[in-house]
Amino acid sequence: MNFTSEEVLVKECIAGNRAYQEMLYRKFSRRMLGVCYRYARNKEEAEDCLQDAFVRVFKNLQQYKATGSLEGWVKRIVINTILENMRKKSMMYKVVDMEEAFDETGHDDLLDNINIQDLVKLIQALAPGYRAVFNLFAIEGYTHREIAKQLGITEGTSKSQYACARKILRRKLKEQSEEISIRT
Amino acid sequence: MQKLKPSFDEYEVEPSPEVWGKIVTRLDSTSEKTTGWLYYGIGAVLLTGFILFFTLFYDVEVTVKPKQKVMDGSPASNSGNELVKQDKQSEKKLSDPVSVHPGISGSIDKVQENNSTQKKQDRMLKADVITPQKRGASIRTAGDLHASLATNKKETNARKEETWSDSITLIERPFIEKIRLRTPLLFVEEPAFELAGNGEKQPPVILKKASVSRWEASFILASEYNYRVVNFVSGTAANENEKNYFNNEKGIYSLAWSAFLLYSFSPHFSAEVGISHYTAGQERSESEVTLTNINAVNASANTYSVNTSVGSVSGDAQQFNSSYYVNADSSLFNPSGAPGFAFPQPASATKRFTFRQEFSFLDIPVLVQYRFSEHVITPYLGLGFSFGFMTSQKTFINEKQVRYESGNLHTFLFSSETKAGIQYLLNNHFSIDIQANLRYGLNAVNKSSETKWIPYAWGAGGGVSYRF
Repeated sequence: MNFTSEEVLVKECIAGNRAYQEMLYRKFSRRMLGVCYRYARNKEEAEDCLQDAFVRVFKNLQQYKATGSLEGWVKRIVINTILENMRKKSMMYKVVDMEEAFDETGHDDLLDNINIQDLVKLIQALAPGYRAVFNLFAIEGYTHREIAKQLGITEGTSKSQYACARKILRRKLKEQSEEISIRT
Repeated sequence: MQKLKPSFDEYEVEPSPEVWGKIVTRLDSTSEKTTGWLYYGIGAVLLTGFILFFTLFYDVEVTVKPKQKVMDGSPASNSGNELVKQDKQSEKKLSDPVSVHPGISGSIDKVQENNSTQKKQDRMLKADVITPQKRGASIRTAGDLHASLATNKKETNARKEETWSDSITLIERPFIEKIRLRTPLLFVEEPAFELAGNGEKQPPVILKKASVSRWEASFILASEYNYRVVNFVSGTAANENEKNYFNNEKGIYSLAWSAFLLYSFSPHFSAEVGISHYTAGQERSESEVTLTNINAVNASANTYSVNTSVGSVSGDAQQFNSSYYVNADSSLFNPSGAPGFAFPQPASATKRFTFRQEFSFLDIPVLVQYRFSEHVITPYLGLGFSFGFMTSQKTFINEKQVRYESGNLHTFLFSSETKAGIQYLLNNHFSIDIQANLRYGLNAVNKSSETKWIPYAWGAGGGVSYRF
C-alpha cells in the first residue's frame, strides 16, 4: 500500500501515537494560531482557543476524509471552535453603537507602518460580533449566506455587521496614517 | 479589504511552548476520564444485575405469628417446619392446572348447613384464612376440621359434633404465610385453603385462573451492530493478502424493528411469531480499486471494481467519481492522460474512502420464550429461528449511494435468534420491554465457492407489549 506522509500522519494520530500528534501540531499550530489571533482579543485568548481546537482535531480525526486538504480541515475545526467559544461567552452580536464598536483598550499603539500585524491588532480591537463577521467574510472568504448560517443570524445582519466593521477599520486606518504623516 | 485573504493565509504566530503540554494533558485526562466512566458503568451494571437477580429470583418468606387461630388436636405433622414443607409442596401443585376439586367445597357447604356452631366456627376460620388470601397470600392452616369432611357424610357429621361441640379449643399457633411480594397477573392460582386431615393431604382449591388473556402483541425497536463472519472454503483461504484485505472492514450500525404475537402456554413458556426488518452489512475504510474494463473511446465508461468479502462491486468511472468526489469530472477514476489510458496506473490502486454495503431483510422470527417469573418485572429469554428475505441491497461510497446490484447473492437467509430481556408491567395490559438480541446467520449471503459471508448482529432496544 502506498501512503503519502500525510496519510501516515493521520493514521498514526488516529491510533493515538503521541509523537505523530505532536508532529501534526507542529505542522499547523503557527498558522492556526494566526487564525485564532485574528478572532481573539489577545494572545492568551488565542492560545486557549488553539488548545480547544487541537484537542477537538485529535478527537475527531477519524472523521477526516481525504477528499480535501488536511490543513483546510484543521482550519475549519479551528474556526468552528473559535465561533463556539465566542457563543459560549455570549460575545456575539450584541447591538453595539457605532462609536462604541471600537474597543479603545487595544489600539493605543501608534504604528509607524500599517503591516499585517498592525491590521490584526486593529481587527482584534473590533467588538466580537464585528470581528467574527469581518474575519469570516474578508479573510476566510465565506459568503454572507454562509456566515448567517454559521452564526445563526440573518444574511442582512451579517452584511450590516461587516459594513460597520469595515467603516470602523477604514476610519482607524485613516487616523493612523494621518498620525504617521504628522510624525514624519 | 477583499484582498486581505492571500496575505492572511501566510500569517503565522508562534505559540507558547507550554501550549502543546496543555493539549497533551487534556488529551490524557480525556482518555482517563472515558476509561473511568467505563469502569463506573460496568460497576453499575453489575450492581444492578446483582440486585435484580436477588430481587427477581428469590421469593421472600415472611413468618407471621401468632395471630392465626388453629384447632387443637391437629396432626402432629402440622408443626411449624412441616408447614413450611407443605407450603412448598402445595405450591408445586398450584402450578398444575388439573388440581381443581370442586367436590370438596361442596361437602363443606353441606356440613355448614347442618350445624350452626360449625357455621360460626367455620366463618371464623374462613375469615382467618381467606382474608390474607385477598392480599395474594397462600396459607396453610390446621386441616383437622376439614379432614372430618373428607370421608362420608355420616362419619363427617359424627366427627363434626365430636370436634366442634366437645373438644374445640382454639389455641394460637404460629403459621407460615408466604407473601408473594410481586403481583402475579397471567396465571393467578390462589388456593382458598388446603384440606389435610388424618395425615391425608388434599390438593388445594383454586380460586381463579388466568385473569387475562394468554395472547400478547409487542413492538420492539432496536439499535443493532451488524457484521459478518467470513469462512474461507477454498482458494482464497490460502491467500494471506486476501485475508489482510478484509481487515479494513468493520460492521455497521442500523435500526431494526420487529412486531411479535405471543401465546403463553404456561406461566413460564410462550411461543412467539413475528415480522421484523433489519439491515446487515459491512463498511470498509480503505479499498483497492481495480480497473476491470477499459473503454478506449469513452473513459468515463471504464469499469472499476472493489473486491469485498461479500463479493466484487463494480461500477463505471462516473459512478465512482460522482460518489467519491461528488463530482463526475474528477481525476481519481478517470484517465489522467489520453483517452484509453486508464487511471489508476497500474491497473489497481489502494484508495481511502468509506465503502458501505447494506443488505436489508424482511424477517419472520419464530421463538420459544421462557419467563422466569410472572411479576411486575419479568425477565425472559427467547430462543428460535428466523427466515429472512432480502428486500434490498445498497452500496455507498462516502455516504453516497452507488447504483449497483449484484446477482451473486442469496435472497434467503436462515438465522438463529436469541434474546434476553425484562418486561415491566405497567398495568394488566400494557408493559414496557427492554431487551438485547443476537442473530446469527446459518447460511451464507454470497454465492461464492471460495468464501461464505455469514451475517450476524447484536443489538439492544425497547418497546411496548399489549396483553389482550
